[in-house]
Amino acid sequence: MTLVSYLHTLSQVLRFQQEPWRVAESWAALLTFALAALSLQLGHSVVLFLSRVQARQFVLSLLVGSLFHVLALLLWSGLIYLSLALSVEQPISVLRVLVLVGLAQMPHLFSILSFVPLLGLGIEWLLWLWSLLLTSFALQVGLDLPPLQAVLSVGVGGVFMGVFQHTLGIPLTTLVYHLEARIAGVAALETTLSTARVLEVTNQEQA
Amino acid sequence: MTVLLEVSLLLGLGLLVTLLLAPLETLEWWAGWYDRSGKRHGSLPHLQPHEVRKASHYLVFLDGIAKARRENYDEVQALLDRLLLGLPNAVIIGSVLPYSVTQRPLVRDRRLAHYWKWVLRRKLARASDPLGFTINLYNLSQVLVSADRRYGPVFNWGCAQAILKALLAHCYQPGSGVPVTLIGYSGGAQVAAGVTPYLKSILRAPVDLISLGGVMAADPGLKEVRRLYHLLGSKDRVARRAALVFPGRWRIFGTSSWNSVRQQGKVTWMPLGPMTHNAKGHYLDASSFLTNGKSCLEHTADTLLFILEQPERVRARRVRDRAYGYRFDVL
Repeated sequence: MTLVSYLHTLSQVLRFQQEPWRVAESWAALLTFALAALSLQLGHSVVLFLSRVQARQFVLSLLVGSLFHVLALLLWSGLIYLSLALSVEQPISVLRVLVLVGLAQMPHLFSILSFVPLLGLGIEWLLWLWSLLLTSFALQVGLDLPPLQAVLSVGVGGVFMGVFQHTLGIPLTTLVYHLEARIAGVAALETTLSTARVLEVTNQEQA
Repeated sequence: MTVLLEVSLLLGLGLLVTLLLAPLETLEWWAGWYDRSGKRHGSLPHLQPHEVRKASHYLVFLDGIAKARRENYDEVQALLDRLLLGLPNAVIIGSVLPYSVTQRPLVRDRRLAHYWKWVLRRKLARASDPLGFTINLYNLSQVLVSADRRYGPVFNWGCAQAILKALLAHCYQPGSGVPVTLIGYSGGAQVAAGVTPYLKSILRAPVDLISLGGVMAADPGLKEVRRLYHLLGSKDRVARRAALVFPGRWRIFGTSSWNSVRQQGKVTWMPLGPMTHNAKGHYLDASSFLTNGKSCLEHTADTLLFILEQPERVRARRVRDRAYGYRFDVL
């Protein structure tokens, strides 16, 4: 598979065409996971800037953050597989679900656009929606599921993800946060800055 | 048709790249990437004025998105000169660059400085030069940075520092309570709203905002403004449409900062007659005349002077208005 065929697949996936899901290749899905994670991380890199991360640690933080994003996307695929395994009678391969969910992340290749001022957060929201719809469509076409079953599987997968994040995921998220801060070379990562916080940071520095 | 499509695609791509890169100057400045020694640039200026001189009022003019260098365009300078004549006890500052946290003009110390110089030459030779619009486009992207809740607090802090330094250089005494009025022209109004909380907190003084055809979001900084005068020409479609772009300006979002200050009666809409935003007959046009015999520039300057000299009279004579809260008719 070449870059041209990857771009061809991308154009078909984004337009909800059926062909790519039937012949989906695992390396294309893996590449999509990696590129989507990097793009998401670049889109969210404002956190690194606000935390005043130095240029060298910035690149390292981006790469490590992308790796964590890939792991999160793999977890998401696993939870969708779990919801399918609990609700569908026919045997389903976990690798097949991984490939389908991976390709459905293609809208996130554009997640870097969330960096755009003012419009960025809206763009990110649209990309998430697009990707969720594509995931349902991928399960429907790639696994021959009824449309409602595909939507429900994604929904149940989302519920599993939410439950995970608020239970077992809490220490894991905290650990990842501390690791990211350590790699970035700062005590804590600033996700947003208010006017008061800007003055506080400035005063602390001067003191 | 194909050529038109290709040109449109190219322009769209250029716009997208501009928007993507727009927050970088602000973020790199905040992160301290500009200074190799590692010294941060987001530090407070020393709060010691250079010399003591009495002024009853300080005005800071934040120019529109056509600004490319520290020197003002002739029409802007003409307005500032008129204000200076009318307010002999006031200090008027017009040298702040509202669209750069590093206070670097487009035409100097930048990778594309040669391009911006060339474009500015063309713009000065012919105001309607289409390439001149790229200056507006670049500065507009900075207005969006100022209005973005992620980047805004940092961008506005950078601009607030520049204003603070300029005020101190003009002998402003922090804590003296001498009022500061920000005049935001077009996109300068957004920056003015964004810097207000910083100025109010550090100077410990009331801050008023005069928006001249202002393009602004419902910035949280508006809540810190003492009074907001919104001067608008009836033919100014840019400022009116901009109000539609920012959802916080819509009336259905009753708790937005814009609607809050409107409901508190801080906003006064002042219709300026049939003036445009930047076409012939704009706010600073000295060669277009209104029915009262004044040029647009004269009328704008006189209105500003009226607000600055008699704010209580404006407040006493204004009438209730559905859209803005209060309205005051100058003409």
